[in-house]
Amino acid sequence: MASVHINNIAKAYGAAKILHDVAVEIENGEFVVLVGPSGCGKSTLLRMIAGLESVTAGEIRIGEKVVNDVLPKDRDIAMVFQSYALYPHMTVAENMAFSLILKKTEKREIADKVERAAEILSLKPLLERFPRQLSGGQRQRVAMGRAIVRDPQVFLFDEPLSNLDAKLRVTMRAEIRTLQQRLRATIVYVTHDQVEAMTMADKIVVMKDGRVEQIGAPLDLYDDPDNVFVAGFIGSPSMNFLNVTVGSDGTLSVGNIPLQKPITMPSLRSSNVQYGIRPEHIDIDEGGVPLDVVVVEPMGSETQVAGKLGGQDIVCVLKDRIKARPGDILKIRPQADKALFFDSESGKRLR
Amino acid sequence: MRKANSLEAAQNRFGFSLTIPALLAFLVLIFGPFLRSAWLAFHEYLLTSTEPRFIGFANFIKLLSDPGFLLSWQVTAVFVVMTTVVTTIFGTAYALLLNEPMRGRSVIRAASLLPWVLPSTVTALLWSWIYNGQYGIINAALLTFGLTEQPIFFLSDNVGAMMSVTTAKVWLSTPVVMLFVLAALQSLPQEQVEAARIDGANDFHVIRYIVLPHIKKTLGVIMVLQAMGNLQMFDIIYAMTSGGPVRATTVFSIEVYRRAFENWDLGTASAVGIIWFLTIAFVAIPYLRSLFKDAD
Amino acid sequence: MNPLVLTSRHPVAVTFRAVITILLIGFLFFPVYWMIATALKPNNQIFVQFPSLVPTEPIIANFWRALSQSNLLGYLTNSLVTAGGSSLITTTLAALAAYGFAKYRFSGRFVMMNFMIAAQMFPFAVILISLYPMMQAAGLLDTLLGLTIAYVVFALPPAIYILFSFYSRLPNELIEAARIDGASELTILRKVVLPLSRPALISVAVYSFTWAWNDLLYSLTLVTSDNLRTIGPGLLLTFFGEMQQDWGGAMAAAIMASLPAVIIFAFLQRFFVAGLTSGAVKS
Repeated sequence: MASVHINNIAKAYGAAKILHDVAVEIENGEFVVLVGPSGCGKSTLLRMIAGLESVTAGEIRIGEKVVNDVLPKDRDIAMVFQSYALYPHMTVAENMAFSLILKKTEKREIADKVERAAEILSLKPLLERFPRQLSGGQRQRVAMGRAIVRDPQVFLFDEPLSNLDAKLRVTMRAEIRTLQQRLRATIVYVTHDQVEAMTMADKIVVMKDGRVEQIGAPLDLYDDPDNVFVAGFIGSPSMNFLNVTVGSDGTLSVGNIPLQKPITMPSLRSSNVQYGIRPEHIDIDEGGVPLDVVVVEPMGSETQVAGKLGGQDIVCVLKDRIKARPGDILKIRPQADKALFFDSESGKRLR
Repeated sequence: MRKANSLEAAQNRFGFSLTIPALLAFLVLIFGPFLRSAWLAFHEYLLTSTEPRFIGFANFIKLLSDPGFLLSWQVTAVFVVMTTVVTTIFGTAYALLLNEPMRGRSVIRAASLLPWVLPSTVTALLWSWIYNGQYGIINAALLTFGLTEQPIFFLSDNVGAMMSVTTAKVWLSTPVVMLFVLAALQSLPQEQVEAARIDGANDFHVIRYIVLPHIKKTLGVIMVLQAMGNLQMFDIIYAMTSGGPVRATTVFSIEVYRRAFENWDLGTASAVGIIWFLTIAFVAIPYLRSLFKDAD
Repeated sequence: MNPLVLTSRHPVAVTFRAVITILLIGFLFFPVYWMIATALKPNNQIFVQFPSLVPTEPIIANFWRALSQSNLLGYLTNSLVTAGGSSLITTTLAALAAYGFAKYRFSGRFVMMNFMIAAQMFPFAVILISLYPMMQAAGLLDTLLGLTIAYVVFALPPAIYILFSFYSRLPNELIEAARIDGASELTILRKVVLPLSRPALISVAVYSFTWAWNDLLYSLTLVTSDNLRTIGPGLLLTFFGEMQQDWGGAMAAAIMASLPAVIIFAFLQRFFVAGLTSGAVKS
């Protein structure tokens, strides 16, 4: 296994700049997830690590070796594609053996490696089948088997679960995670699904418009986001943002409603402040602020209430069962120590 | 190429090298000869000449005042319009009928392509026999139903000859059009038809307002492709009528063949060819435009 | 499954549909039937004003006569050799070029490809005017090799287009997966792309074959020896010429001339239909 160093790389197709100055350090054996909305450049970055796209500027190192001009086959990497890209005219066994045959590996060794990979992925009964005879989840596993047999320095996953149904996705998520721990593999994994990122990653790289917004462990990003984008992207339902007025004495109000007790934070001077509070950090409190209930969604374990607070949209996730109905007024109170503040122009976190 | 793109550059060199054989074949066998013929169109080059002699537009000027050539233009137009329109109508109707579930449909569909694999001379023989002036089955039918008193010698009659070659070409191409229309029908969502039914549409309405708009683009491509093919038609006409009687079925291809390979007047033949090419190009513009749009 | 369009059960509609169906099927199939029926009749049933629709006493003498009085088998062999050879050349050239155009991004590829596709507008007879002296100069006039090469003219541009649209639909990820698996570009072509394009290649091969098989113009011009003639001019010069009155023999010869291609087509039909229409029509 090896580490991957991405030093200030950029990608441009002619005048169109896809990636700007991206830097990511991936430790040996680390599970790194690149996440962001579509078009943010995460797949391009992965394909550059794979050698399927050239690097316009900057440097990519795998281990100690600079690989900018190294062909994919010489990078010692394996990749699992979104569509799996299994060779339709080869059996499962042949699909997995293909790279080894090309490397002129000995027949015995190929058989051993395919056998072992099939064992790990419970593909043994399917070895003689063709991809068209497999279910989506099985194809997914064959694609991983194809990667495993190569014993690569780095595994690259490009949205591998997005073609599976929701239930299978959860199962495969755990399976990939277990596999990673078993092989102690370095994995770079691309997804647009923040839940996948949160549940699987050691380290998440949040990207947007070709730039890295923030890098960190899942819960660090959740608790301590650097900007509005990361705060809103990580977590579901996503964080509430309220435009608040900061009084000279540190009072915070939405419209004319005072939101919480005054706070003292030197950076909180500007009038353009967004107040961020996660839906689960809002409690029912008889002495709280009035919420005009719009929708109540009982989920069983919790209740989601969407409503208006001083004319602004807000969602609460409440542990208790609520009897409220649309049109009612509910008294709520945000947990003051959980609130985050952002500059509403730059989106930067105010600390 | 910049060094940053060296990965792609090597791949793309390989990709380019794959196209070289076809490119060479194209230049030597198609484009080169075509250019040389275009060049010949501005020369006098007869069997008796040793060298082509440059004469500017003289060949074209001569042709445009030659009633024989002008007639061949007209004959080509009649043949192309008739065959293209009738084949499209027949092929579409046939596709709509074969689209319905019926016993033996797939067999009929496959067997319908039979005309297409017959050598064109066989097609010509077949229809010459059917249209035969003495013993042809069509004459027998016409006489039986009292539609004519005397057998008609179709192939020796100006209109009859044109009708015969047109029939043969329509017969040859109808199944192909059927196939393309059938394929286009496949992509029509059943829900659209059902929605129209619920809105009160009958069969005619469904065809008029749902099916035809859906296959319009395909029909357009098919008609242009057919017109281009029909403009090139040589084999069947030459075999059935040799362009006769006199010049009644002398289309461009036969005009060129006669001038080039019977009279060995290569300059004039090439000039006819250039006018012919421009006619095809004019018809082909919409088709090529759609192709290029797809490719880019 | 195709959507149902004609569902009316009104008697007028049903009758109308039935009449059109019978007329169209009659138009398309009767000529073939009549060819077979005539070939099985003796002359005294053929040369009558009102022939019977079925041969009452079928005979096969016409077939023997057609075989003995013409070089039919020779013509057929020549046709198979030239059409088969040119189909092989065309399909190979077109497959390589189409794959190159579809999956590699070298500059000028669109110009090159559009140019080749546009060549479908060049009239074959006009190309022939200059191809003839070229063949003469190369010593290929009146040879089967020359005719085989000339036949590449017919189908190369459309074959490139059909295969280009096929390869454009082949997922890039398959090629990329092979690249990561360590395959060279040539290995990708041999081990991944070509095996996957077999149906498309077959359909293009049949398509090119048919073009050459149907030809009359080039064969008539480029070949003059009777023993090198292909089926088109062979039938034309035998049965439209001196034996013009032997319609029984002509129909028997026509049947035998058609059989090889019909048999080939019957076997490959399923590849062909799908390949051809999917390549040419986009929804």
